[in-house]
Amino acid sequence: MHNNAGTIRAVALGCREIVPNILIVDDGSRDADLRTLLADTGIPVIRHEVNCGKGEALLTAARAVNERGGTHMIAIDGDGQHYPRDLCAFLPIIAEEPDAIVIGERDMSGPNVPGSSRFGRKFSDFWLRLETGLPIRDTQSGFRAYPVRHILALACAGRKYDFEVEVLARAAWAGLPIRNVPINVWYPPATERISSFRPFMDNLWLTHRHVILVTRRFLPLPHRNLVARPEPKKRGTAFGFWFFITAVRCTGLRGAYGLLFFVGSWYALFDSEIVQSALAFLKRRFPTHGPLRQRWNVYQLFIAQGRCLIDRYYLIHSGDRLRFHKRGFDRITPLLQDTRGFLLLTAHVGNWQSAMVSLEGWNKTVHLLMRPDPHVLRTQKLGLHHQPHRIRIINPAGYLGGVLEVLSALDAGDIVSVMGDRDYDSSRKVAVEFMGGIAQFPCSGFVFAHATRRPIAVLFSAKTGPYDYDVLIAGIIEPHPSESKADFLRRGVQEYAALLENHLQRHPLQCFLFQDIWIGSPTQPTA
Amino acid sequence: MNNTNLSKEELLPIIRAKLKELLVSHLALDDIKPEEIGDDEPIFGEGLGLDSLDAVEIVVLLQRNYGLNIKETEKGTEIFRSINSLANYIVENSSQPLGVDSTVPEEK
Repeated sequence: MHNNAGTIRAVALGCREIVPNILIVDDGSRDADLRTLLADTGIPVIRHEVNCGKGEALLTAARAVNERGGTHMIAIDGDGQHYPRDLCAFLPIIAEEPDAIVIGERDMSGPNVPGSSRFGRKFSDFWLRLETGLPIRDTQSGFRAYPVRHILALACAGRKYDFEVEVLARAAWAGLPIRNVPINVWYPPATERISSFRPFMDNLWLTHRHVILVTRRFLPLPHRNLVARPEPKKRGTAFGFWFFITAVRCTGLRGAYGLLFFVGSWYALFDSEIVQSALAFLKRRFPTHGPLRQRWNVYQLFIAQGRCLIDRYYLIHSGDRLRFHKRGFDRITPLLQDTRGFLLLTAHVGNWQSAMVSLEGWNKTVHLLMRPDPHVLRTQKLGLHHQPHRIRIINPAGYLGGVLEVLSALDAGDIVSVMGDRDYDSSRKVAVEFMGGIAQFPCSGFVFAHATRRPIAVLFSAKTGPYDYDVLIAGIIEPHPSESKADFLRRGVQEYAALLENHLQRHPLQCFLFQDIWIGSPTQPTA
Repeated sequence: MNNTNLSKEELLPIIRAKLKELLVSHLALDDIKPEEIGDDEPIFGEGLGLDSLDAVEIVVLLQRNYGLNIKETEKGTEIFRSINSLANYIVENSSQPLGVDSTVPEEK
């Protein structure tokens, strides 16, 4: 609270009738000394000597609750607009979903509700919808329950009112549930209202924060999960699709690329988590580059990934100017002529999704072992794809990880495509030499190949010009008839890693691995 | 569909023992003896602790040893529940002679 001496005592005592532990954060009030005012109640007051902003005050409270061993806190404004008795509505939801942020959803039908508040609320909900894809209601309400450990882990940058919207976006990205509970709200007549919200400056901060959050949302980089979630939400849903299609329509491919300059710079400069995940690879690929040059590499990597993403949208939209140059496809001619199926092993390099266009004309159905991607499904539904060949998706989250579907597809003579460099989950890995270290690769593709005695074709892609892609069958890895499973996994994964390393020598800034897969150096191999 | 003279009741214990042997020898279950595997123990997850990639081996074992192709996921949940359910499925569906000593192709 800030400058709410007139109401704070009633609010605090009202809360204590419902929950035993109350904490007040005085964010540099100048109207009264709260410690004296509340001395007889025994309620602890933490004071910021200067006004730091509501976000800072909430973080101070979260730290204090955490230090005192508390797991949750409910924030209530000190100005008397919230009713302490509404605390009761939060408690069952916290008990049921301890990871959730619970927002008190204000009933704004009462008298004295300023029109600007109604508009502000709708506008804020709209931004959050863009940022999270979720229909979160009343995103400006300050009456909320927070799981404190999660809030402290979210690394929000906003310290003023913008914290309250940022925390929701970051919580949603981290997989925390966000719930609403109806609450009452009291708006005093305009003449009696004491609000610390400065319409111009605070709205400016909010807008600034929303712009950052929206751009972050459409950058196809991973978010850290704070809680396990059954089906990770893919960024770039219906709105992202529309956004990029519109950008491509209005400005062409180059114009859409231009947008990336801002996004790429921002993340290369300020998002240390993602930069670190990119550096794992870059430090091995460019061991002699200093920190500044590596930042530049990170930036280029982000731009390259953004371009590949835009190309995917462009391909769906019309894609008429994109050219896919096939290299090494003669290697798979015999496999295509065989009535039996085979495996396709790809990697997060170049634009593997778009590279699937090159499989046009193949007489075999391709099954992608991947979590259903809304883009692929949508484009199939709309018939926008000019991909006449058949693509199916096998969901690894299904029964036995989709194994039965994979085996019957191979049995039916189809192609099964698997990611070879990193996996959707922590399934079994094989450690091999890769880029001067020992790295772990998922081995599921090799297990399928060995069990069914079918070969693996390794497919990579690389963007080679504004409208040009190379799609490369880099090699064929085949289990020998007498080779044991363990031997084949070791040899096969090592061969794949060597092909990938070779590809990344030529196209280093199209490696979208974004994961530290290395576990050591070759001198200390791990089993 | 078995073409030996043994009844289903006589065949089941033989198949169960055979399955346990196959699992232990093909799935790196080195610290488990075939006879230690319970007939109703869940094969995946808790129980034997096998994962989906082990399922690949089991499907292939069933194919090689009993000529069975399990393609439907819906049925899979039922079939792969335990040694018992697998043995039942084999007896009812195998197209190969059962009960006689079907030699397992040697491979590790």
